[in-house]
Amino acid sequence: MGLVQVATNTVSSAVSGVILTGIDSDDVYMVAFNNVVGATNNVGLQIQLTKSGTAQSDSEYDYAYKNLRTDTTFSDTSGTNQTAISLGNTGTATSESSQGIIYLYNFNSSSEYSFFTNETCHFNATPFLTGAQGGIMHTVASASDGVNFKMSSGNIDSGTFTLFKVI
Amino acid sequence: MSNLRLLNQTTVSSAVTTVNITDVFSADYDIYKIVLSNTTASATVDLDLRFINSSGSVISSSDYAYANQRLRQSGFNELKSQSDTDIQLGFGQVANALGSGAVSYVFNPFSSSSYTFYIMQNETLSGTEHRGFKLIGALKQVNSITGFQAVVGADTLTSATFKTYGLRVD
Repeated sequence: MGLVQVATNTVSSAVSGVILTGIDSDDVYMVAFNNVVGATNNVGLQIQLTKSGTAQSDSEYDYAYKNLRTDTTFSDTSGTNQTAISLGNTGTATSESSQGIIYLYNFNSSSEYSFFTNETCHFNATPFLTGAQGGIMHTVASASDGVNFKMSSGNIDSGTFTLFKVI
Repeated sequence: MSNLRLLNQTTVSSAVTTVNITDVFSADYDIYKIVLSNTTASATVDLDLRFINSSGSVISSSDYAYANQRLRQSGFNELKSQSDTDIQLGFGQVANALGSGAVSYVFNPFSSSSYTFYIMQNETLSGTEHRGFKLIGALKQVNSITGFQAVVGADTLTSATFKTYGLRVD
């Protein structure tokens, strides 16, 4: 397996969102992110996809996760018709940050839904280690060209986000 | 050229209880991928994980946290700790002569301002029962980490290939 970088963005001052585009083939794509911290304590890092470079906030996201956590029993989380999907909460204190690997499938297809599989880990605001393993689907059969990261409230203060094509 | 750069390949070909892979994490990369394959062991063994700091010391203080979902035919269960001396089952298990496979990612190890984070998936069996692991972990230190150690909980690892890659961001 190889990876070819398609787009990257390192946030060093507060932004409302990070859009990575460049998906233009039927290959599988992968997003890696690390050291992501929001401006607001204990809020979720969220993901959406983009079409023609515009983040989609329609109510078309379905998801299901297993939430791994070190403080108590693991839990299941799922939902339908969401406008964005949280990848997990993080805090703002030292070393409270988010990281993860997300694979993207069928984004370039105009006749299939777009699918994500995600593995994430975070130190949240409590703080304890938590993460999610699961998947996301966007139930619109039209081509998507990228992803958008944002916080559920407030800005992204820092983090590196990179989109790769899997070859 | 691929942005996934092979940095180290370590092959185990005789019985060992630990495998140290040093000087693989640097300022050149923030995210690393480790692929474990071709494994055999003297029994069904747990393969734990510790990190190695820039002084070459294996970190064995109680600063590791992990949460691990074990998937088994006989029932799922969870293993977790907020303060352990290693990431238990950090590479999952190896099923004696029948092997296993694992893929993991390490985030921010070289940073001296961030914890080191870890994600792993492993597939193996115990006896005749299939099992898999989905794990997250962290080393709750902000020291610069340059390597890692695979630790066999009991018995020995008799063969294995560890490939460590860096995810190059240009």
